[in-house]
Amino acid sequence: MRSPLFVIAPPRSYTSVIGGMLGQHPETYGLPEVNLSHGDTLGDMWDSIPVGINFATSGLLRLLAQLHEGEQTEEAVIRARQWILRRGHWTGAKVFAHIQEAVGLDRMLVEKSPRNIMALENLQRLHTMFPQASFLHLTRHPITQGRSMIDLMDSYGEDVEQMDPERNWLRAQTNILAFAHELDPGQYMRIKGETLLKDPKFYLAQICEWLDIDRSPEAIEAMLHPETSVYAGIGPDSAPFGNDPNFLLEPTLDFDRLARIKEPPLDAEIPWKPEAELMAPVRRMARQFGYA
Amino acid sequence: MTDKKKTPARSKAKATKADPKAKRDAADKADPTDKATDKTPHTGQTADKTPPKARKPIPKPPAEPAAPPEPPARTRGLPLEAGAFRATPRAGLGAPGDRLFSGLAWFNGALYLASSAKAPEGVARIHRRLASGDWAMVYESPPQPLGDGTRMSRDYAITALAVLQAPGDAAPCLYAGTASILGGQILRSEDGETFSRVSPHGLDDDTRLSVTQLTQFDGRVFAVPRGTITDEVHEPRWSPEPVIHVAQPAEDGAEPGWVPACLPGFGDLTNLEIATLTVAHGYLYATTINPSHGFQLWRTKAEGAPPYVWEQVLTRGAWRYALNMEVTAAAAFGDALWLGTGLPGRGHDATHDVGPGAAELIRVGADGSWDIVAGEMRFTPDGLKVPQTAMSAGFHNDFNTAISALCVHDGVLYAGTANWEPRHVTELPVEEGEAPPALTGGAELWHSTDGAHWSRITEGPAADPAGVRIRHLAAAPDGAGLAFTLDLSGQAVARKANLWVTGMGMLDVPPDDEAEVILGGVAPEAPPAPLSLDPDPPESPQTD
Repeated sequence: MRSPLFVIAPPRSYTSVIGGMLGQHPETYGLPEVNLSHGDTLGDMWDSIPVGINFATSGLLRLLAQLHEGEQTEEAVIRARQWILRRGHWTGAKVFAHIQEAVGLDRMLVEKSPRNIMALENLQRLHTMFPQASFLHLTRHPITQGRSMIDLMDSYGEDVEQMDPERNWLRAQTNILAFAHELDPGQYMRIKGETLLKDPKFYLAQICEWLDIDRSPEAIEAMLHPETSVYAGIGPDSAPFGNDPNFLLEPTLDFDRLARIKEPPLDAEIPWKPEAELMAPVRRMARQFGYA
Repeated sequence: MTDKKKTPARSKAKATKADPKAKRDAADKADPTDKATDKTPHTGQTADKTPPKARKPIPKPPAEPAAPPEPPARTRGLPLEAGAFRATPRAGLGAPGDRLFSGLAWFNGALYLASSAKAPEGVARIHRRLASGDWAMVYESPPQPLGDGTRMSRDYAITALAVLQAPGDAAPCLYAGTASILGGQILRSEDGETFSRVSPHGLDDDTRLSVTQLTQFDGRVFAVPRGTITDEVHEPRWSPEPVIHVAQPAEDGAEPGWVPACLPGFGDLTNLEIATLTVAHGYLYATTINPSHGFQLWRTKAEGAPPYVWEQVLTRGAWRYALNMEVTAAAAFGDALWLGTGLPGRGHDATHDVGPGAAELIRVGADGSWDIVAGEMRFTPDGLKVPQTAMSAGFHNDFNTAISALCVHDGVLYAGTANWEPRHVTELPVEEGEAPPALTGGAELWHSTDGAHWSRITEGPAADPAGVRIRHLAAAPDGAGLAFTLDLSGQAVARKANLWVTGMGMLDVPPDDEAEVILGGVAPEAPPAPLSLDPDPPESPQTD
């Protein structure tokens, strides 16, 4: 069995786009956001998600519906939910093993749930489940990431005045770096999302080399089409998401637009905090990620 | 057609967990050439004593005649073993300000050591190691009258020590760059005893505090003026315009003029200083200090009139960005240029808020291609870079925050590190009644015969757990000796000497700026002749 690849990053860090690409490689299987790292059992994890927050439950429901019945209809999702509720005592590892068996043992699972990075112990739980797993850390400029976060929450009517995306960025990156320090050399790699998206063919080939999977032009070409995933679209009413809603609405990549991604200077004014600059720890970390 | 790579890059880099101590231990064990590392017990310093002054002999019990010392076994291309190293006595280095060792060079078969003060009130000196093993001072900066009637030493630090043969020199000479409140300057000595000024203060600008990186390329001498000194500013590290200078031919015995050999900062304002100059592949290479983006590597053939045309070889700290803000050591070895990176102190540059991070070793080929020898695996515009030795940054030890010295001796490349583990260990809290933790870590000396396989010397003075930085490595040109200066942690020195009282902490802790000189591959001096056993020694002709 191949060990999985976990794409780890704060929210709004191109994980949907890049995770979608990596999941379309012929030797991989891109999972929707299954959120199986924030508790010891499936029951713990499922119960911890507030009722009605289908951002966090849609991915696993759609995946199980697809794997069990080959379709993501409302009925299949209902049966997937029943399947989950009957297996509250299963560990995350057992659920992953079930998924792996259904997908095929020769496929590398690619997973990118946002909850993975919300606590160091979540990442450690993944490592315990998969000691040989690979972890790809995606970074995004703290200003554009924060702006994207605020825009998304604003579109859902959230009170963005109370948000502090800068601290959230720092907390998530700190968790990831602390976790990376526990890994074997070569088990963790980091790349700027902006860099990868400006020249995806070049950098996807390097990622394939790192993962020891096919990096032929055909394999790379397949990765440039995340829209071909069965999860790249809005799901049934009771499980509509499982990924970034914007990506699900427009999963076909516009490479010309991606090549024009801008990186503001680190000392630029923060759009959501007039006349303020990024905190020193954020600037330091961002500089070490390659932002300037 | 597929281009499937069969050797996983990840498994090439796989080693052990990132715990500094575990990583260090694993690195020592994992190295394929570890067997070559000397395992003989550390015998301590050699019986290297100053001969007694002439006096009436005192009869003593019969003693075995002193056997001539055996020179350490040495075969070209084989690294020195742990037992080949010994600390030198400090006799002759007794001046209170002589603790900061700031330069080391072999000249005319002797070892020269520069000592410096950290502040302009001090005095710069150069010492030569005598055949007896003692040190003799050969240069002391002269006092300089100041406008207010006071006097101050002209030079307070030696910031470069190199053997060069400049145009007009009949033979190689010993050159020294200095730091001075009047602006750094260059000293020259033909015989290693008499030093004279051969440059104006600051080269072409007397607000330049020091002269560093004296290097010869294509018959010309290059230097890097560094730092700033004005009535208001004493800044040892940074200058407004980082630039390399080249000496211009002198006419009628005049001092050579100095002109810029490159644009300030190579035209990039984020380059704050020039860190190293090295000759390799028929080029002069220069590295910059850049805390914003990471170091840059440039090279030139120095053709035509200065400033010369320079070609950028590496940028963005070899794509490790700010964590590789500075190259702290460079050397040509085999067919490559070798770069060691580093961050100051405990791996954090407080001025620019960079770090923490451990050092990398990088290899650059003549065609500009490059590889990580020990460091962080990463994606780059030049392809996936996997550490060739499978060692992570710091030679697999997070405490190694800089590769602070690189040197080729007898066909072997040596790398010395800065390591803050001794400071860390001695600062750990100790409970009342508990023994302090054992002293671990220390600056490391690594060696390689081919650049691909590296071993660490794990015993003896080259693995002193009180050492925090191998500041300089210097090889005798004929392969007859390798020397290095070792900065020591005062707390660790005291711990090593058991100056510890349970529950009370350290007693009599030496200062933290102690340093020593370690010699490798050099035969110990002959011990003093045994005293006469004649019960009636002849009267001394000298009566007093």
